[in-house]
Amino acid sequence: MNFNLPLSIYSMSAISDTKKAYKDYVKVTVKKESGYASLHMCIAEQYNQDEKKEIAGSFFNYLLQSSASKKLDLKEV
Amino acid sequence: MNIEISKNQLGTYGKLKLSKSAYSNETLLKASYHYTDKLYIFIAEDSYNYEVNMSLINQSDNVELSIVCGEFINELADQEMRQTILKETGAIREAIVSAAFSEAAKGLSSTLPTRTVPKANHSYVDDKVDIIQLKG
Repeated sequence: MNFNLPLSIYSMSAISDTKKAYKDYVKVTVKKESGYASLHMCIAEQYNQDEKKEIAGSFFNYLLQSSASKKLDLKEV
Repeated sequence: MNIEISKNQLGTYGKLKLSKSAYSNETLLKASYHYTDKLYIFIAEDSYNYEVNMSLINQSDNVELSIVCGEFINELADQEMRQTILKETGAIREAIVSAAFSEAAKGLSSTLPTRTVPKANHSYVDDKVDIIQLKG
């Protein structure tokens, strides 16, 4: 699966943190382009469709929360 | 602004297009952050719009998805209003807070007695003013 992540919303360091956090579930390659990051995601075949949805969805939520924390200077609790 | 319900390989999701001129990225981040307990959210963009892709964390029907997406739009409006108010009144609020704190700080001395100021070679073991003494 390929995604283009706008860098006005997502930060590169958050992408890196999320990639590390999900390394056991998903292989991610990231390429920085002008204004966005190109992301290729490959979820391990051992997971069924529902699990894949959960992994991809929670990956993006983690990334969003991490980016929001960094960009909005939110304190993690 | 309408929600387009579609399907991809990961299931059903709602797609919402938002004009960049109407909503700031701070507003979008705050509203999205708020909804990450109910929705999986992925945000893309083109030159003029943000494209918010949302799917329910708990599997449910399209009606439920439409309802939660609608609530998300309300949250966006709420956050945008907060941002506007913050811009309009931020300076006044800062002035009030700093005035309140400067009033409260009038009775305080900014200098500590010399004996309580720890030196570089001090450790908590050398606590001479019994700060770490157990009380109560």
